[in-house]
Amino acid sequence: MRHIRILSSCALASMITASTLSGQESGRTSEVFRHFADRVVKIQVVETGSAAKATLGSGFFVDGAGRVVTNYHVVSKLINSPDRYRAEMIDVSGASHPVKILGVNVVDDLAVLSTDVSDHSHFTLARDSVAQGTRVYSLGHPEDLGLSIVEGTYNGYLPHARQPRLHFTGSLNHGMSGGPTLTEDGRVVGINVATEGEELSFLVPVERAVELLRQVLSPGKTSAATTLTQVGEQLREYQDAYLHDMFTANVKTIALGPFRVLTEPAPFFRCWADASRRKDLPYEVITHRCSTDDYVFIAGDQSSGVVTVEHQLISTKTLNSLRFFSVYTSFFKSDNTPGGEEEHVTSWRCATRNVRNADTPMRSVLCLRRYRKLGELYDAVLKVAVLGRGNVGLVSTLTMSGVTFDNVQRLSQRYLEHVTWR
Amino acid sequence: MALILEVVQPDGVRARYALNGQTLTLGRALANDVVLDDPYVDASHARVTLDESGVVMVEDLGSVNGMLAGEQRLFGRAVVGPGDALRLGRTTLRIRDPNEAIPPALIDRPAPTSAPSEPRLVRRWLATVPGQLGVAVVALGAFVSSAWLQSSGRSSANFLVDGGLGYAMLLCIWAGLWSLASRIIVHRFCFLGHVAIASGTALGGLFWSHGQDWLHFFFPDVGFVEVPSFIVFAALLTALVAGHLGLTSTIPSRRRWKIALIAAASIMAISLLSTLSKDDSFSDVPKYSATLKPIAASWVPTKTVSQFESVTRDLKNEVDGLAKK
Repeated sequence: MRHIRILSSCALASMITASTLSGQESGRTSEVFRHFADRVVKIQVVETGSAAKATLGSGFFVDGAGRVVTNYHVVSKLINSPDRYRAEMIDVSGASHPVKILGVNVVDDLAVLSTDVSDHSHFTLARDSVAQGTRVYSLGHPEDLGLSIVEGTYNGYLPHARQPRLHFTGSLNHGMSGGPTLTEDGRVVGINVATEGEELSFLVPVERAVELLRQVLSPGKTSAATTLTQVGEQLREYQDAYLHDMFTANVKTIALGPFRVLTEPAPFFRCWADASRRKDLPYEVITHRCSTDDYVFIAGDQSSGVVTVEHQLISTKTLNSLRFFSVYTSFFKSDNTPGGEEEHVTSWRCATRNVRNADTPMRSVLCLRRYRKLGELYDAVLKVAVLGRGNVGLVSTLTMSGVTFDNVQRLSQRYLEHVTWR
Repeated sequence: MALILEVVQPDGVRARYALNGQTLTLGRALANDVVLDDPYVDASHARVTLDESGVVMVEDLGSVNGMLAGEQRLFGRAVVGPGDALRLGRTTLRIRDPNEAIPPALIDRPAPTSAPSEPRLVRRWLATVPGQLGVAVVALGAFVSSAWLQSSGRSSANFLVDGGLGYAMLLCIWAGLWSLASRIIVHRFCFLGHVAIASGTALGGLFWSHGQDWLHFFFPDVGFVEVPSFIVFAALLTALVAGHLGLTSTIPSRRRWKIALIAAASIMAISLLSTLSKDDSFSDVPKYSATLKPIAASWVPTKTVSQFESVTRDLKNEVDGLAKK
């Protein structure tokens, strides 16, 4: 109920905004909607046992043979558990059609589906250049409330992203994923993929869909039966390229209290620092955290290529060493590992050792779990606590999701080598 | 030659009669020469004769239960000699030679009072009110200190409530329940005694759990720290149950320890089973030994960074195995 209220209040706000627009602009929006609405479809993934909708998204026709482009995450349930789910396409008239997955690019979050529809009006995808500030229109099925159009502004490529993403200033909502964002004359600029709220939304650039279509339609394409294997291969390739130079070339370190630690593992990482000095606590914590927005959605809680680095410097002026180490232990113990479901991942297994890097003794814990369906991909967490002082300590955590074991080993070792006393 | 006839009952020799060539009648009736107070013996059960040649003859007088030499029943007359034993009903008769050799007398030395009596002294002191109070106070102090060491707030009230009050309340409830049982069974409360027993056990558990933390810290790769822990907790549990039973019942010491051991073993077996079944179930929260201890850097036994690599490979094999299940 709360959800509907929020949406209805949004609708009211957009109505007020709409009334302030010039009649010409609102006329253009309705013109765009009238022209292109029939090319946009609803994609739903249904649980076969209960016939209940499990995922809902949008898509659009890209050729006369009835092929549809949508997001990978819209159909990810079907790819991960084909025996439990089926997907269907609902066209503009409300008729339901079965769909098949022709190909996916998990890294770009795109999928191409085939349907039994032919000679349908469709968009023609092509690489195109659009000037920043151009008015664009996003189509889709927000929250299953019917096909809607959202007007917004094209703001070009995100500067720090490793995977190309377009910045769209407009309100995308759940259910619009996979729908097209187009110019007034019907040129698709991107595919709706994510939002951070407050009119800050993201699109997959159209050229990524062009590339996927080319691969899918080329002779010798991967068949639907091996989609999961294909996803695994794409992820391994992606994370290999992503992690290859991490902690090797131009390693940046910072001084944190009496320690020297790694920071900014790659240019597309962003780092923040924060200090917590509460009067009711007899210790201080300074947190330094580096992460990236680039990650690949796999399924549920699972993502690939998420690498985060976090350092916590804990110090005290009042606690004796026994009491300080109780606090230090609780920081070392606190769990911030990614969640997961038994269907997708194994339980964690951890090993603890006291390790020495030069003159720096550390308590090191490595926890590892494996993905069940995607071949040799792992989640790993390396936690380190530097030992040897009674009133200051450093808990440093490297988290890696959806990476190969070679990368786990390589990155863990390099990480350990870069934690030292100053 | 005279011989001696001994009447032996479960609590020892009841009577001795000289056989001097005459005949002695045996039975429950008061008219007998040897009166046997045994409901399984006939009024006139048997007759014993020593003849001049020194042969002892016993004769069953048609009794209900007869006479037994060992497991063998004797009918009519039988000849017996010195050292032989006969059973009439539930009474044993033994023929003894008055001239048989007997061992020399034991030397009567005063009981030693030094070292070996120390445990008894401790035990006796623990049975006194100051002793019992002492154990309770030491344990309470240990729990409060432990809670203080683990507290991270500036205020001192929290750890007193968490460590001291919580522990004391639990202890009183536990000891109170045992006292109630004591009152019902042996008609005395022994509340302080029960408090002392529970406090002692809790103190042992606290010390061991801190010791275990240090073991885990120094030797994180040694998996068998769990085994001594298991044994120590089983021993503490046995001591706890045996101690409480000592105050709650009149069961002899050996049986009490046996009962306690069985109870502790059952509890440990249940906890082991539940631990094993939990180990197998899926969890997305990692479990690891996170204990950190404040000691000098040079004292920490460590591996090199490259040695850590082999650890990661073992982990990989383990999770690969899990993924195949």
